[in-house]
Amino acid sequence: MSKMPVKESFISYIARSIKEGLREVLTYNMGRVGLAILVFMVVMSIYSIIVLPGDFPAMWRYVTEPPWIYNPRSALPSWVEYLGFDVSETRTYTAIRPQESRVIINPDDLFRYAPEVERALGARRVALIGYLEVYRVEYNLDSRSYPQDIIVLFNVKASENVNLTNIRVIALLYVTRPDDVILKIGELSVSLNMLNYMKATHEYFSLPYISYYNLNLTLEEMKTYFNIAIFGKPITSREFESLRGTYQITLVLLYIGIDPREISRLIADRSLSVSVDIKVLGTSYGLLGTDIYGRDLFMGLLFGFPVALTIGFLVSLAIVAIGLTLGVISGYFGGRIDEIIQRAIDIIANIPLLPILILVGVAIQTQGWTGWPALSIIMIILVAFSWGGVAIISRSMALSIKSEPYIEAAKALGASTTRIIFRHIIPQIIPYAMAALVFGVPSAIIAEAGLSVLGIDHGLPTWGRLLADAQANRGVAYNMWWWVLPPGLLLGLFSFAFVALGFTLETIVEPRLRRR
Amino acid sequence: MEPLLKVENLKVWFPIRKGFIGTLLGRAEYVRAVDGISFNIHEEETFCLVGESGCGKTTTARAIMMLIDWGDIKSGRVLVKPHEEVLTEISKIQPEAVINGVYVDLFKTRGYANKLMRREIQIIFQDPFGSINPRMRVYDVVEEPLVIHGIGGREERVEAVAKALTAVKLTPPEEFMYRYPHQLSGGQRQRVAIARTLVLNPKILLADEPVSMLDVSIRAEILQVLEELKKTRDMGIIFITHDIALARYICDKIAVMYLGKIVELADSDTIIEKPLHPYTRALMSAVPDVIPENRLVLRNVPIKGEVPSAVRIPAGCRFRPRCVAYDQNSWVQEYCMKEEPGLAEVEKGHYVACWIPIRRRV
Repeated sequence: MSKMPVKESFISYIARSIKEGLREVLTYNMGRVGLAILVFMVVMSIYSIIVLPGDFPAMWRYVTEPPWIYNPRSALPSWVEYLGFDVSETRTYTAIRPQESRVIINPDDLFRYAPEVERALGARRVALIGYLEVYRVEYNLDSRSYPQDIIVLFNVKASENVNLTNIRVIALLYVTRPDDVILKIGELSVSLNMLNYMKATHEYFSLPYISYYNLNLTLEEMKTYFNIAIFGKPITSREFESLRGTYQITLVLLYIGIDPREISRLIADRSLSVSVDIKVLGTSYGLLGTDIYGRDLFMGLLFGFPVALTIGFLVSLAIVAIGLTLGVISGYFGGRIDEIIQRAIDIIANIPLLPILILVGVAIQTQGWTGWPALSIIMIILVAFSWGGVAIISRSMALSIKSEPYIEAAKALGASTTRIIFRHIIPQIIPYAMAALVFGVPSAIIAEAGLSVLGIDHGLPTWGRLLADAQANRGVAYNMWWWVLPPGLLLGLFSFAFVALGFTLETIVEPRLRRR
Repeated sequence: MEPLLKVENLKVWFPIRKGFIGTLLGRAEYVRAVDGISFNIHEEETFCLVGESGCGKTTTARAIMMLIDWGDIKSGRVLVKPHEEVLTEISKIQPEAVINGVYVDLFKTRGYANKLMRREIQIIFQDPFGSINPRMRVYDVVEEPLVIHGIGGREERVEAVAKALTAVKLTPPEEFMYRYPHQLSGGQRQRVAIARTLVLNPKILLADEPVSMLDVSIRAEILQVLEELKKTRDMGIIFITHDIALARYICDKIAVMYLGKIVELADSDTIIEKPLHPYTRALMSAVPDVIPENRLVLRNVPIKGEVPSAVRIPAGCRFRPRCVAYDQNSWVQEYCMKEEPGLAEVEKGHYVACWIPIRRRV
C-alpha cells in the first residue's frame, strides 16, 4: 500500500486543529491584526527576559537606589522634542577617555593642563604632585528647561596585587559655561576603593556666585536650585533664564598617595583601570521618560509584557481546563456529580469576587508576601471564581454530544468512558474552548490591573501597578501623561488583540456568524 | 443446530421519574418498552423485527447490544453463542456467565468478559449521518473497534480496515480511508458504518432500520451488502424495520411486535401470505401499492384508534382497543377481555398471540 494511514493521536489531533485554526484566522483581517499584536507581545516578552536583570522587581521597588538615582526625575520621553516640547536632553558619556593624562612633578603643571582648576569661581588653589587625568565633555543646551543634575560614575577595576586603599584620588568637577564662567561643582577626596560616584553640588560655588551676580538668594535656595544656577543666567536678583549654548564639563582626577610614576605604570599595563561615565540629566529621557523617582518607565513597561502574558494565559488556561473538565464530567455523567458541580457553580457565581480579592490583597500585604507568590494567590482566586461559565457551556455541549448516535455506536463497540470522553466528546468542545481561552486572557489581565489600581500590591511592576503608582504619586495631577498613557494603551492593545482573535475564532467555530 | 442467539422472556421497563410527593404516595410506574419477548436466531438467518414506532423494536436491539442500564432490564436473559476463543476466555475469567458450555448470558458478564462479548454482537444504526463521528476520518472510524479491543499491530489493522472497506464495496479502500464523513454520500456512510462492525468479525449483526434514512435508489445496495455478508461470514442478522414489504424482501423470519410484545412470528413467506394476527393484517394492508391503476382504490386498513401508552397497557389482550376482529367476532370477546394471549404455535413454525386462531383451533 502506497499510503500508510497513520493513527492520529489526541495530541496530534489538537496540534492539527491549532494549525488549521491558525491558517483560518489569517484569512480574516481582524485575525491578522490580533495575531500581529500577539506576536509583538511575545517578541517584547522575550526581549524583556533577555534584557532585564533577574532581580528587576526588587530593583524597581528600591526607588532610592541605583540605577534610578542616576536618572532624571519626571523626565519626558526624549522624542517629545520633535513634537515641539521644550526639553533638555539627557546625555550619557560612557567610558570616556581622558584628554590629558600625565605625571605631574611641578605643581604648576596642574594649572597648565587643567586651567579650570585655577579659573573656577572661588576655587581653592590646590597644588599637588600626582598622576593627573583630565576628562572633558561638551553638552549643548538649547532649551528653556534646565538640566537637573550632572553625575559622574566611576568604575574602578584593579588586579589583585594593587592595594587600592593606598591610592587616594582627588576628583574635581567643573562646568565651563557658554559665557565663559567656570563653576566648580564638585570635589571628592577618597581612597580609590571608595571611588563610586559624584554629583553636582552648590557648595563650591554658591557664595561667590551670589556675590558675583549680586543675587538676593539664600544658601538654602541655592542648594535646592543649584541646577538653575549652573545652567541659567540671572536676569534679576532672583530670576533666571536658561543659558543656551555649549557647556564644557571637566573632570580632573589627581591620583596621589603613591609614586605618580607607579600609578602611570599601573594604568599603562591595565592593572588598574578607572572607567568614567558622565551623565547630564536633562528633562527628557529614553523612550518613555521616567517617573518621579527617576525609574525608567520603558523598563517597567517592558517587564509588564511577560507578566501580562503569563497572568493572562495561566489564568485563562486554568479557567478553561478546570471549566472544561468539570463541565464535561458534569454533562456526561449526570446525576449526583452533576448536581454537586452545578450547585458549586451557582455558589461561586453569586459570591462577589471583588471584595474577596480586596480582602485577600490586604491579607497578602499584612503577611508581607511580594512578587510571584503574592501574584499566584491572586491568580488562584481569579481562577477559582471564574471557571463556572466555561463549565456551564461545556456541560451543555457534552449533554448534546452525549446523545449523538456515534456515542452510542462507540459504546456498542465497547469503548471505555475515558475513550468516549477524550476521543469523541472533548474534540468537539476544543474549538469552543480555544475561543474561551482567547477571550479569557484579557479579562484576567484587566482584573489584575484593576486590583493594582485599587491598591493591592503584589510587588511586581505590572502595567496595572504602573498605573497605580502614577495615581498614588499624583502623576495624573502633575499631568505626567507619559506615566499614565503607555501602560493604559498597552492594556488596551493587549485586550484588543485577544478580543480580535476571539471574534475571529468565534466566527470560525460558529459558521453562522460568518459574513462571507 | 443450536441457535446463535436466544432471547428469553426479555422485559425492559423504564421507571418514570415522578416528583418527590409522587414517589412517596404512589407505586413505581414503568414504561414497559419491551414486555416479555423470546426468539431465537440461527446462523445465516436474517430475523426481522417489524412494528410501528414505539413498539419496542429498538429497545430490544439496545438491550441485546447491552446499551441499556441493567437496572432497567426487569427480567429475562439473552444468550449468545460466541466464537470458540472468546468462550474459552470467558469460561476462564467468568465461568458463571457460561450457560450449557456453549452460550454466554450477556447480562451476567462484567468488565473484560463484557467487553469480549461486545465483539460478538455489532449494530448498524438508522442514521448514517449521526452514527459516525464527523471529526474522524474513515480510516479512524473503521479502525476504532480494533483499537478499543487491542487487536493487531498497525499493519494488520490497515489490512483489516482495507478488507472491511472492500467487503462493503468501498473500493479502492485507499481512496476512502482519508476522507471525512462529510465527503461521503449517505449510502457510503452507511457502508462505512457496516465496515466498522465487520472488522471485529461479529457473530450477530443488528441492523436498526439501516436503510430507512437512505434514498430508495441506494437501499438495494446496502441490502445486497448485508445479504452477502450473511452468507460469507455465517452471521445472524437481526433486521429491524417498520416496513413489512422490506422485511419480506430481506428476511428469513419475521416477528411482528406490538406494544412491547411479539404478536406473530413465522417464516417471512408464511407471514406475508397468511397473516393470522389482526395487527399483522393491518400492517400488510398499510403497505402502499406501486401499481398505478390502484391509486384511486380506497384502501381499507383494518385498525382503529391510536397506540395506547406503554405505561398503562390495556388489560387482557393489549391489542383489543384497536382490534377490528374483536368487534367482528363476539364469541372471542370474553377471552380477549380476561386474559392476554400467549405466543402459541397454531401451525408448524407459525406462532401467533391472538385468541381467534388459538381458540378456533381448540
